[in-house]
Order: sequence, then structure tokens, then C-alpha cells
Amino acid sequence: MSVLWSAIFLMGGAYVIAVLESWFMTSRFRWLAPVAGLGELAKEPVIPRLSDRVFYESAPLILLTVPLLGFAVLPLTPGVIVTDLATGALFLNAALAYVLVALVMAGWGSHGAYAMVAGWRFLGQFVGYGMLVVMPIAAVAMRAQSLSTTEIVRSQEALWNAVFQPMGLLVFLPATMALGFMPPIDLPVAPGELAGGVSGEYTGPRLTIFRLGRLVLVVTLATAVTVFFLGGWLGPVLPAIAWTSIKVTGVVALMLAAGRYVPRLREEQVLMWSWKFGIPVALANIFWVGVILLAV
Amino acid sequence: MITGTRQAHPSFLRRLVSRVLAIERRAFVVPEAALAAGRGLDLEAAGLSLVSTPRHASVLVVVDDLPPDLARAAAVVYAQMPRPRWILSVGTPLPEQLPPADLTVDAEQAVLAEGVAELGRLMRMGAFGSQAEDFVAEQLVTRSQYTCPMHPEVVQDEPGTCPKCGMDLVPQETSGDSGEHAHHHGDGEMDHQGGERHGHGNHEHGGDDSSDEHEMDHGGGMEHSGHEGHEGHEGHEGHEGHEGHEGHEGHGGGGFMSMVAMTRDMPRSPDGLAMERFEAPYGPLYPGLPAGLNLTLTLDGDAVADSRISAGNTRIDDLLGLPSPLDEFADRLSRVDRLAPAAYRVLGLRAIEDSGALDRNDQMARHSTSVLERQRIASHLIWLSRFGMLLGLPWLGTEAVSLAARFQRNPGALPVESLEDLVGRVRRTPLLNRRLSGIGTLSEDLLSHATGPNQRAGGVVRDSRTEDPLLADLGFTAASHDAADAYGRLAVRLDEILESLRLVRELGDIPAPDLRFGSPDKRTAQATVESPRGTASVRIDIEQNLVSKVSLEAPSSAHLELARPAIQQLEVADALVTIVSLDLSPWEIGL
Repeated sequence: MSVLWSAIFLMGGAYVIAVLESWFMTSRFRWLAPVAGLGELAKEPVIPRLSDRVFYESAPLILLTVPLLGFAVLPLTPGVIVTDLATGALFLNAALAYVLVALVMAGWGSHGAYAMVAGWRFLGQFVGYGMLVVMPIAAVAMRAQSLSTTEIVRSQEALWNAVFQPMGLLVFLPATMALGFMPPIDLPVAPGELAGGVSGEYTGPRLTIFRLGRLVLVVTLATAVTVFFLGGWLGPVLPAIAWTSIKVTGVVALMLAAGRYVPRLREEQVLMWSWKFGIPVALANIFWVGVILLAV
Repeated sequence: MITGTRQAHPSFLRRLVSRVLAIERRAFVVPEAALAAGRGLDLEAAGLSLVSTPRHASVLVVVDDLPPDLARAAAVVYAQMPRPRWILSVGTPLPEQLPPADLTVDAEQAVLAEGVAELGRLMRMGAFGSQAEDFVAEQLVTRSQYTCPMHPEVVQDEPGTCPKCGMDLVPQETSGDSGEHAHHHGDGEMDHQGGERHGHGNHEHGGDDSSDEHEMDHGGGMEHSGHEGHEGHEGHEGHEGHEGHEGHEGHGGGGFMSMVAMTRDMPRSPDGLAMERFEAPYGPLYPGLPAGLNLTLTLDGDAVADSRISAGNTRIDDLLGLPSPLDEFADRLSRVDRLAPAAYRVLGLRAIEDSGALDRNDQMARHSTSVLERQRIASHLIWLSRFGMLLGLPWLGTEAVSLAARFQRNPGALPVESLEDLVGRVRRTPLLNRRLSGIGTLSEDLLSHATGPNQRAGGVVRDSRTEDPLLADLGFTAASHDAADAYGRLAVRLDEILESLRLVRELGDIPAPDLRFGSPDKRTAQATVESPRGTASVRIDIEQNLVSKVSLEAPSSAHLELARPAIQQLEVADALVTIVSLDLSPWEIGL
């Protein structure tokens, strides 16, 4: 049952995100936007000449598989979780690391200058922000005394982590946006700069998988923010799944709003903020949580 | 419809999916969407969604006539679009390089919107068909030849051994057009795709989605099967360039390969690192840049190590059809720059005025000033839209171009509030200053060669409008800023939009004056206007009441020279921001 509920949540989430994204990007609200995307299936699947066939074919599949794996360890309600690993938080980190692999493979495999620049850009971006995903999760796990994601939500019953360790949320939220290459940190796709970037050479079913993979990735990341910092399913009156849905939608809306109103950051600034600002804040956060846990 | 249809039996499922495809008409616009806005057309409002790569487009929208080089590039773009694909021509005949349009509509907003709806019907009906013809873009055709590694002069069509040294010949590629295989990539938009072909027509299997499968199998004929060894021929495919360095392993005797030996012949960056260099070609139809601009960046990592930038190859005499009668000259001159036609028309009229063939009067002066300021607003809006797209602010891209189109369509109604609102929103955009400050700064020396907003951004106010008594009466002040970087240029253009808006409102509605042409007093005449891009001036020679010779000084020509030094060693995104912020108009370059 958990698998079914998770799949429904994931598909619903992907749909809502596609609608919201099209709304925020084009200023037009269209219920049909996600459906229209499926029209891409009618298009010819093109293989660029001299492409690295293995990389080119596998990148979209990896991009879809990785967030699915990550999502499997995130609880939607106390009972609904595909697999409640004792090391869930660590597993999520490990899974998300392969987003990098997928994008670099897509960039290299496409055999195009724009795609390749885009792929390497993501490498730099990921190395910086991957750290900012791991470190706040470490602090969250410290408080829960467990790597199990369900335990992490339970540890927030008295106080959400967003309040308990705000510095963690401050770096985790942009880090998830960088990982999901959402504007304004969308260097690897960068419409206007790199003509579609890593996905620029994909067409037809492969492009559909690539876009679906990215939507699922965004759902996974937003759910991760909810689980680790916003108390997951916890909330009064409404049923647990409603609270999860509301919080995930809110997180996505916040991310998309940032993308709409903030111009794309320069690569230099993206990296500077992660290393010079993000890492010290994340370390300070771990220190803060440690002190509180020892003292209280 | 033939060349765009995908060959497959239109089964129920395929018909369903083509209905879904028709919901969103993803379009790639050539020469560029800005030209449509200049003619009062708002493509997105008409129901097209614009995309930035032909790979993601279903419709090729042609909004203006294409000079030969752009027509060739457009054929490449069309070939790069995956089928099913359609061509929508908006009030312009298609060049011979492209297949006939699936739908032709007049250049009017209402007609266009109807046409787009009709296009949706075509998309639903004609996505799949049992008969599909091939489309071959000449520039993309490559053929294999065989050459000797030691004796490059030995070239033959068949594999074999070298008659001089007996070595096996290795394959190399040439393109269809006159064998300049390096050159043809310059013609293609998205040139990194220039060499590739996707599975068209005659080698497509009927009825399944595996048309890609034979892409690699299909090695013979015109298509090339993909050798890895000679990538160096195609500068854009630089990431394969490392293949060339494998040769060094031979020197090392097969053992440990030293880094020094491996990078020995590679070019050095300013920081001393040896890096692969590769070329990223942008243009002439790259959607983020003005159409017609050819920009090739040689990238060292992601920094610009070198660049080539060029535009225009038309001769002004051909463009104007000289000698030209005096009364037609201004209209002909207005066709020179498609991004600022009204400014050039005013320039032409003022030159005729100077020759004495046209009487000066107050109404004419007021009218031409009003026209010029309106052109400035429209031109800056279109620039703002391009800049917004580049910066990842899609709302700005859409709204500015739509406002420009509305403004052009209905010159009587000034969208004062929308304009002020837009300018205000751009100014309030967070982090914009941080994004743009210090990018593409022009040095003092370069600044003296610039003109218009690019120069005024650096605090050097040279504006021919300041000498105009009419504008002095209206209290005109030239906008300026204190930093000659991308932010300064943005700030100046925003100020100019508001100042021009004020001037147009103060001038009020002026009916177009009747032009009565007499005979000129002078053999040569000249005129200057402050066009949206800077000071443009023209000198004309008149013989027997005909304009026989024209020499034009256009702002973009000067700015093109500034672009190259300004983008040196910048990161790709910053280089593009710099180039776009200079607001080059390729049409007025190289005349």
C-alpha cells in the first residue's frame, strides 16, 4: 500500500509542480501544461551524430531513477513510506549524488558544445552545494539521534527543525534548488545562455523522460525539505497526508517564486556563496545543534 | 506538410499523441522574435510558445525575409527540428533553401492568431502520414574522403593505400558546400549540431519509434558514420579533441604518461593551466542574440580565450537600389536597419532636408522628433526583452516584447502606465545590480569610441539631441550613469525609456506632414540623428535629382569593435551579457 500511495503522491506532485512552473515562468495558468508536455512523445527521437551512445541513452534514465530511489526513504505519513531504512538520511544523500552523474553524462554524451559546458557547470555547482545538502542533514540527524527519516520527523514533534536550527534550513533550501537545477541556480539548463543546456539535444521520448526525471527530482527535494525541516506530516486538525502535501507545495512555490523574481546568478557568485557563506553557516549550525543537545 | 510529416501509420495512439502535441505549439522563430515585435506582432499572445533550441520546437516561424546567409542557417535549423514539424510563414515569402510553408498568414495580429489556431488543426491531423519526404539541408551533407596521414595532398573517394608511402588512408569528412568543411559550421545556428544529421526520410523505418536506431547503422551514402579520429577538423566538437592527444602516448613508450608531456602542445590560459580549447558558435540565428550576428567563442574551460564576431555582408548600394529618387530615399534607407527602421527614415528625411529639396518646418521637426523617440522606446523594449531572456527573467522577456508589439501596432495609444510599471519592476528586481555590475566594463579608451547609451553609461554625455532647440524647449536631459558596465547600460536605457515617453507625451499627437520635394541646392548633404543605439550619420551625393552615393556611419559598427576586447577572459554567460548589453544591430553593420 505504501508503494501505491507514494506513487500517487509522486505523480500528483509532479503534476502540480509542472502546472506551477509553467505558471511562474509564462505568467499564464494552464491546467493542461503537464499534459501538453506529453506531446513530445510524438516527436522523432534524434541521436546526435558522434554522440557517446551509452552516456546519451542512460543519462535520462538515471535522472529519473535517482530521485525515485531517494523518494523511497521519505515518509509521507507515519505509515506511508516505501522503505523505512535505518540509514534513510544517508541513503538519500547517496542517491542524490547520482544526479551529478546523470547531468555530466547527458552533457558529455550529447556531443555538443553547449551541452558540455552545461554539464561541467553542474559539476562545479554540485561539488559546492552537495556539501550543503549533507551538512544540514547531519545536524538534523544529530537531533533525532537517528538516520531514519521517520525518526527525524518524530524528533520535531515539539519544535520544527526550521525553528530549532534555522541556519540549517537557510543553507539546505538553496542547496536543494541547486541540486534540482531550479532557477535562479539553473546553470546547467540556462535557457537563453546555452540553448537548453544538458537537455538541449534530447528529443522525443528521451526528452520526456528527462523532464519527468527533473519533476520527480523536484518533488523529492521539496519532500526532503519538508521531512527534515518542516516537521513532515506533523500538524494539527488536518490528516497527516494533507500536511505533507501542503508543506511540499509551499516549498515548491517558494522555490519557483525565487526563480521568477531573481535573475540567474553568475557561476562565480553561485560558487562563492556556497564555499564562503554556505559552508561556514552549515558548520556553525552543526556546532549550534551540538551545543544545544549537550547543554539541554 | 510532406517534409515535416513523420512517416508512420496514423494509428489511434499516434493520433491521440499528436492531439496532445498540438496543445502547445512550440516554436523556433527566425530571424528572431524581436523583428516580429517591430512589426506589431506578439507571437506568444497569438498562441505560440517560443523555445530556445530547434530540438525542442515543432514549428519554424519565419517572421521576416531572410538574406541568403540566414536562409542557409534557417535550413539547418529546420533540419535540426525533430519531425513532425511545420513551417509558419508570417507575411513573407520563404527562401528556396526551405521547403514550402505549411501555412502562410499576413503580418497582422488577428490574422496571426487565427493562423496559429489553424496550425493547431494541421498539427492534430498531419503529424503522422504514410508518405513522408526527406529534407536535406545542403550545408549538413557530409561525405567521407580518404587521405594519407603523412601526405595530406593525397585525397580520394575510396579507401586504399597511399601511393607515396603505402600507409593506409584514413577517412575525413567534407561538407556538401564547396568542400570548405570548416566553414559550413559557421552557417549553422547551433553549429555544434551542424555536422550531425538526424534520421530523415528515406532511411526511416515505417511505423515505429526506432528511427534513431539506424542513425548509426546508416554509414554509407551522404551520411557519415562517425569517425572519432579527426575531430580536430570541426572546431566545435572540441570535447572530442582529446582524441588527438593520445598520440603522445607513443612518445612515452607505453609506460607512465607524464602530465607535462601530455599537455605540452596545448594552449595555456592566463593562469598557466593547460586546457582543452573548443569553439562554441553562437549565431547567426541564436535566439539570445540579434539575428545575423555571428559570434564564435573559443572557450578555455568556460572562459572566453578568443572570439570572432562579425555581422552583415550586404552592400549598401544594393540594399538601397542606388541611384534613388529623392522622394523615395528615406523609405529605402529605413529598410537598412530592421531593428530601427523609423530612425533611419528620419535620418534619410533630414539628409534630403539638408540638401534643400525639402523645406524645413516646425510640424516636420516635431513629427520626426516624436517618431524618433517612439522608435527609441520600442527599440529599448525589444532590447530589454532579449536581455531579460538572457538573464533568466522570462517574465521580462515576454512582457517587454509584448509591450513593444502593442506599442508598434497602435502608435496612437501610449501604454504609459504599463511602461512605467515595467521599468519600475526591472529596477526593483533583486540582485540585478550584483549580477551585472562590473560585467563588460569598457575602458576609458574604448569608451571614447562608443556612442549612444553605451557611452553615456560611462558618464560621457555626447548626445546629438542636446543641440536640438526643439528638445531644449521641452527640457530634455540626456540620461547617463557612472559605470560603463552592463548595469550602467541597463540603467541608461531604462532612464531613456521614461525620458522618451515624457517627450512623446509633451509633443502630443502630430499628424504626419505632407512632404513636398523640390530640387536640391547642394550636391552633397549630410544629416545626423541620435538613433536608439547612438549617433548615426549619413552623407549623400546628389546627381541630377537622384541620390547617387551614400556613406553611412552606424553606431553598431563601432560597438562591434568594442565587443571583442570587452569579452576577453569572461565566463560564457558574462560574455553573452556583455554582447547583448551593447545592443548591436547586425543589420547596420558592414554596409
